[in-house]
Amino acid sequence: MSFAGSLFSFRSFRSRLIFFLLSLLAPVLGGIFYYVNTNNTEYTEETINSYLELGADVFDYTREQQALTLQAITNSLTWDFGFRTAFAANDPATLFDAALNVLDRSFNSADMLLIVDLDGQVIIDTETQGMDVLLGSWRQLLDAADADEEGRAEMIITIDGLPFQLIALPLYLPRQVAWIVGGFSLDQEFVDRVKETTLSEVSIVKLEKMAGAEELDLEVIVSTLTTADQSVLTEQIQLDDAQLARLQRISTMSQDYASLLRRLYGQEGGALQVFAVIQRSYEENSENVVQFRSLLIQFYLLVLVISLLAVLFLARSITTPLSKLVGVVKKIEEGDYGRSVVVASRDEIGELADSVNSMARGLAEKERVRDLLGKVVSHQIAEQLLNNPVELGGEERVATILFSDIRGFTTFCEGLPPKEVLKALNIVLSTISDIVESNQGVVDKYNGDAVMALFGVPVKGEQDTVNAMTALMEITSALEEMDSGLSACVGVTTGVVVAGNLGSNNRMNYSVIGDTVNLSARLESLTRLYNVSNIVSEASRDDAPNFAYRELDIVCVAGKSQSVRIFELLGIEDELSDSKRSESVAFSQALKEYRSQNWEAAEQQFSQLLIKCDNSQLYQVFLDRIERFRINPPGPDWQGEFIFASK
Amino acid sequence: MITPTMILTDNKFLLYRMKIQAFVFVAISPFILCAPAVSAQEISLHLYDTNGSPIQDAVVELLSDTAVDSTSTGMREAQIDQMDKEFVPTVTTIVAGGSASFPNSDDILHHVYSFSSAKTFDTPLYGSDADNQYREMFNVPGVVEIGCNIHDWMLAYIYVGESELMAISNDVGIAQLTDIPSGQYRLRVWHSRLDAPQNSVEQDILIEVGRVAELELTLELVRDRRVRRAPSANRKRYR
Repeated sequence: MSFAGSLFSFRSFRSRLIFFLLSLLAPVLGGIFYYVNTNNTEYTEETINSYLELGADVFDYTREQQALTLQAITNSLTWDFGFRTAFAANDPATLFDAALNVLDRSFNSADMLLIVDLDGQVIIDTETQGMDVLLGSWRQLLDAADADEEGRAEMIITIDGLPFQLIALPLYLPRQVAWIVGGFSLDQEFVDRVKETTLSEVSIVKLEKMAGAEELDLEVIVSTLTTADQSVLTEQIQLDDAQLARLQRISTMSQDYASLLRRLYGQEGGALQVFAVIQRSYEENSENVVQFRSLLIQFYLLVLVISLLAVLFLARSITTPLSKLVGVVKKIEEGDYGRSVVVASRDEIGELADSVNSMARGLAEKERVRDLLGKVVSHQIAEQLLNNPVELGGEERVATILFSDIRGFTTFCEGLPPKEVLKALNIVLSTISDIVESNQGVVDKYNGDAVMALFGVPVKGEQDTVNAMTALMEITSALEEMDSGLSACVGVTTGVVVAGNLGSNNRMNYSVIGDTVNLSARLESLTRLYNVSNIVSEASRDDAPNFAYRELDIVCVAGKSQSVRIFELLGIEDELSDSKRSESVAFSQALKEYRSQNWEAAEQQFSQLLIKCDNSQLYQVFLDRIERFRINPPGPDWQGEFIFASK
Repeated sequence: MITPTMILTDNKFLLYRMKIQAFVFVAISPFILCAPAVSAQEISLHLYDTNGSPIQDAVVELLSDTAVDSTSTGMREAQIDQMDKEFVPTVTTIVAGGSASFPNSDDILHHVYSFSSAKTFDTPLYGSDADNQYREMFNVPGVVEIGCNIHDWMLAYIYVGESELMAISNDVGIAQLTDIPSGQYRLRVWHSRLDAPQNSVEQDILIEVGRVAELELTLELVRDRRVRRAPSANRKRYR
């Protein structure tokens, strides 16, 4: 058997079901797990990414809102009459104090104020950067404001390394006389506030080209990250315009961050660039994934357990009735048809059980029939009937027919109650039947105390006639041994018979018919006349030559034109006694004289035999015939035959 | 820069203005070239911006080193009304030493102020019942920008002139001065948006007897950055 064959051959139906369940369920569940897990991971990463973009938007929004607040503060300041008066007073020190006062009142919405005249001369600067004239980015800011119709501009500029969100507005008195720049720092407080709103980490980093250095130096200005994560951030983050629209993945020791960049100050390649990095951890995401995964696994285990239970239940519902059925079938095999299976289900198993039950009933009935048939007819006929189509008709066969009758039975029965008679008859018939069957013969029928037995039909044997002769001798000696005054008289013939089912379509017998059968019956009845225990036909004698016979006569039985030679079986040739042998020789001699119509010699020899031998009746028969032939000679054509006019 | 290509008098360029005003020029119309002489000396200025639009509310002043005997007296007292939360008129000329009153025609209070160096002042809040109570003297020549502390968009200019020879350009950009004594003058043009120091340009001009001068000036204006009155400010009223 191939490996696959041995792999998939199961000792039990249950393990086969479990194997197939697992082999079906495992790929399906595995596939679902893979699909769901991958999609879930992707989906949650997408979610985190969208949260992150939301976080970046909130960062922008917060910055813009604060810029608006700053604008409101700065704007209202330009309309403050006291401030205008202070400005008109043209005393920078007073104006500086007024500006600080405003910052104090702003609840941290504004951290710095700078006032510059229309020519770019710094009037006051609360950050005291020491600028007289605005330069660089500051100049750009005011140029942008000047270009704006409303005179408004925003910019992020670093002051002492700290980025400030700035807004420039005109100062009207009532015409524009100056620019006022308000600012708030994007400091720790700011990033903390954004983190509170967005649950995202916010860092503000700067890229600065230090004096004499080739490389830009990256430094975290403020951050909500831990110090360790900040240093990872500086190692991994890529700060350039190409990254602005993209998500970067930053992996620290503890977790992965999705990161988005916002350029706050400077340009690509500039000596000073400030970025905001908004980060969202995938951790909360992966927690969900892990939780979902474990839920999925638990669900799968549940499914597997339920499926296994279902399979076991299913297997049980099949194997339990099946093993019951197997037990019953084994019993049937052993010949016990009395068991039946009870299966409650109405499915195929139930049908099978019903079929097995009815099969058992059928077999039991057949067995009963066979048994009965074997009792009513012989086993061989029963087999013949059971194994062949039962139809009328027969075939010509050569068979040996044995007819047995019991002499003295009528006398034996006198004075006996019928039950006793039947009992005795059954004993005798059983004995005869057993002998017949032990010699491969078949009891064809009983007729009173007579038994008709067949040898060679329905089954042809090797030596049917020999068996018949053996049976004959055994029957004879068996009845003698009974010592009940009963003796057997037997006729045996061999010849062509018609064997087959005789009768009507509804009721038929396996039997044989033909002249051979009739002759056998005649020979049996002739035994009384010749006072011998048996008479066998010439054909039978020829067919079993190893026995000792003596010829009795040539007879022409009633209804037959042909005469037949009849013989008496004396026994087995070698075992024959000398007296018997000499009697046989003498009888043969006498018979010869008789047939030669030498009546004197024949009479003398028969008379001697009559005196010397037991069977006086046999010799008396011939003495009587000689007496009659003397008066009435049979004629010259007589061959020695004797014609029986009646049965 | 004022670039008179042809004028009745000899013109001198103001060099410093040439440096900063590259695109301003003055042209004489062909009509002026052929104008016949008249008995009175007049000057008529056509003011346009670089887009060709007429410039309204520009002040034209003729300055002379000698005292000028003028017949005009209306330049000494001016009135700047406050109507519908606007100053009316927007530009007012006063000769130095003159005064202006600020009546309030609205039914709400106004608070007029100026931080200009020519005149710094502010009134208390006042209403229409205080008409003409608030009058300010303007002794120093220059431009006084006045505003209202309640209504940020309210803005008016008082041009305090050194002479009485002043005119304000009308809605087609024409400023006319009549009865001008002949002589050598400096012509000064001021506009609140004129792109020049103190929003003004000057050039010498010779006024000859019996001649009418028509001048066409193209001036570069800066964008007008001022507080705009929100549209809702007209509709929103207290009560």
